[in-house]
Amino acid sequence: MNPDALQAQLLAAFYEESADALERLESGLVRLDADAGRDLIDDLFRAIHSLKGGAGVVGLVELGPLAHAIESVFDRLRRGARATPAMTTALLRGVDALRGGLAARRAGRPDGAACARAVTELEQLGAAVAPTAAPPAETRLWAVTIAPRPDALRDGLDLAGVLAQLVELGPAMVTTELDALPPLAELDPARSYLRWQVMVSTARRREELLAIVAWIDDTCAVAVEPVVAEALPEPDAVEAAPPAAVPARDAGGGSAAAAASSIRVGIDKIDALINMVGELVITQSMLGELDDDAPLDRGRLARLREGLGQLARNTRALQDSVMRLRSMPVGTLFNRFPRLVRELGERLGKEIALEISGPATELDKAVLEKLGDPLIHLVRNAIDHGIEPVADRVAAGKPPAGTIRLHAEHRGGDVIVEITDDGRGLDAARIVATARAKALIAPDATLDERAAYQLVFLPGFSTAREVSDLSGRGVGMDVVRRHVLELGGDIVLDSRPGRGTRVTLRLPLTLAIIDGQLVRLGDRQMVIPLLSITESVELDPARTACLGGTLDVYRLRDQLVPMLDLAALLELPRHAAQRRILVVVTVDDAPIGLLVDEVLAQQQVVVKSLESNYQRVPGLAGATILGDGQVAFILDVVALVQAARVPSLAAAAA
Amino acid sequence: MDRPVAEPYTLPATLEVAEVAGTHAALVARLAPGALVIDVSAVASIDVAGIQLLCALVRTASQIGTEIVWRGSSAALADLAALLNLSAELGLPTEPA
Repeated sequence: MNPDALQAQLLAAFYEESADALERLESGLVRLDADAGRDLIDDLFRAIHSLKGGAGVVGLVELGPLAHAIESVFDRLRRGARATPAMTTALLRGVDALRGGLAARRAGRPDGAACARAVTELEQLGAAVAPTAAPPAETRLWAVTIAPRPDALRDGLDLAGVLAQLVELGPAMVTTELDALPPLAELDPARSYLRWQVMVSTARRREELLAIVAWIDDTCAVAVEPVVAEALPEPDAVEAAPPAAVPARDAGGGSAAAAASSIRVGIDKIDALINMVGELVITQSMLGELDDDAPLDRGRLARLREGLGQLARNTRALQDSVMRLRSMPVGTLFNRFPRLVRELGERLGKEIALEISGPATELDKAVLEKLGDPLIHLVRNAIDHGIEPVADRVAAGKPPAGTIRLHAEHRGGDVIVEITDDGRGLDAARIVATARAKALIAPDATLDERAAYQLVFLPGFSTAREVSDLSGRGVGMDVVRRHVLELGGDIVLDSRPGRGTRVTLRLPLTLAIIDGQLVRLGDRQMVIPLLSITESVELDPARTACLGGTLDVYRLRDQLVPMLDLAALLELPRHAAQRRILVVVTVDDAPIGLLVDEVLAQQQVVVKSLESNYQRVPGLAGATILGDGQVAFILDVVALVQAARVPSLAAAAA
Repeated sequence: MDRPVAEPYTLPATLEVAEVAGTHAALVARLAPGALVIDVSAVASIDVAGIQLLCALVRTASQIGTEIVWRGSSAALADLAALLNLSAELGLPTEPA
């Protein structure tokens, strides 16, 4: 492998590792205020230590001093210093600067300025913690390169001593270049093959650095250069930004696109895949044995059938395994939130505890990535509008600290993500009034509470009395809803005044393949996602009735189930009355019967987007190509039922 | 995990430029595919030549598929490796005590 390719590979691996390490640091730092236990500090120390080492290995020298400065703070904590909120904030900013430095490097324009600033801040912190430390002066990053002559070692070069002196000047990182090192057998042990670079962030002048290396400059080629050009423009905007501003993750930039190109996969998943391929090979060889000119007698036919059956099972298992490769635990997303909640809580002067449950729930990486923004928005909303100020909470007899709960679980074939707060809840009357005032609903419309809550998802809706900079300028909930719908999901809001609000997102496990039930409507075949189906029954006309002259219902055992005529809903030509089947689906926890002409096979279908091939069609989730080449539409049951405006049975019966 | 079968090789107390040639010869003789256990606990002083030798050993070992297993600990070695940021390269335990 050529050195460039190797370096690129090392870098790619380092970027992935560093992302993990940064996440670990961030989530750990957020816990630091509450729990400055030894385990946590050790874990943080290890994370930054390996990040520092890794940065050195791949030559990201500008990050070294900052990583070292962060490490030093953790080291002080290990030795018994007390963690303060100011320290946590400075460390978090240091982590941000590291992330920024990495992003800059990935974008091909290394920038040490932000890192150097963060180093200064951390050093000032050190000065505050240990008052004996020298007052901070202007700190600059220096690169000292030392290339000993081949015979330098024989002359008794005290290189280690010089390096130790340099390192003591400030946060520093030493890189040992080993490239010239020959194989062991060819090594002349007294000859010098190594070169060093020391990056050190210090307020000392160049002369002072030169004085240190003067000891060795007769046996080594030594250079002392400043790393960050002084004239480097520092964007004022960055300086002026409020320091506690929650950094918007670089979602749109090139780095995100690059990050999307790789995924970490657990070894167990790979092993399952390899197993599956092994079985496939066995099946193939079994079928291969049948491939000769002997006549196809009964015995051979049976073996052929068996082989094909096995092939079908293998294919399905393989498909499952491959799909699972793409899935990631939702915890990777949830981990962003402790910090967000902490910082927003601080800014708004609210005490907020974040509870996370079900972080191991896995879902498709593509779904997970697109879930980030909606979730951030919902959590901000909960903090900004949901959780009351401490005084209000106490007055209402609630604990002073609000609680936000992030929860994920698999329910059926879907992933449920819930954001719950114990804040003031929604005011249905005010929502309806606002919607009327903005002419979003008819002036005489009457809505029950639950329906009223869903109005907040309408475009242009915002009831916040004061528009804050955090959330709510009227864009927001509608955008959140659109994102979730685009993911093939669904969003429902529930609230109890004074008690809190719960937003439930229902998301598909994957976007690519669904289990479908083929049904016939006239001469068309349609696919109903199997997950939504609870049962199918043959229609018994004696059990049908019409409530209130508008709602067709079916008496299914002891329950009345509203019926929807799919053919009419989809405006398909009506065929002569045939033996019809009622496919019962569950929408919003209530059963709905869909009338179809025939129930055909169940099969997995590959979802083809209508949006990208044609345009979005309400009521259709996509299309698929059947085994015989026919195109069948996949029904979006939730949207269909909503479009049909089936009143709840309680309302109809009343 | 396969247990290394070879006898451990014990590094001398001094691993500095003047004495490093003997250690070099011994390591060259012992380096063979498999695993090499190296006991570092005796090392009391080490210089750049000494750590350069260990780096060459580790690099060559990884090229021929030999696992280097460090046994014991040496503050002198750990300190110098940490200073030169070579702990990871050498595969020494990186966790400071």
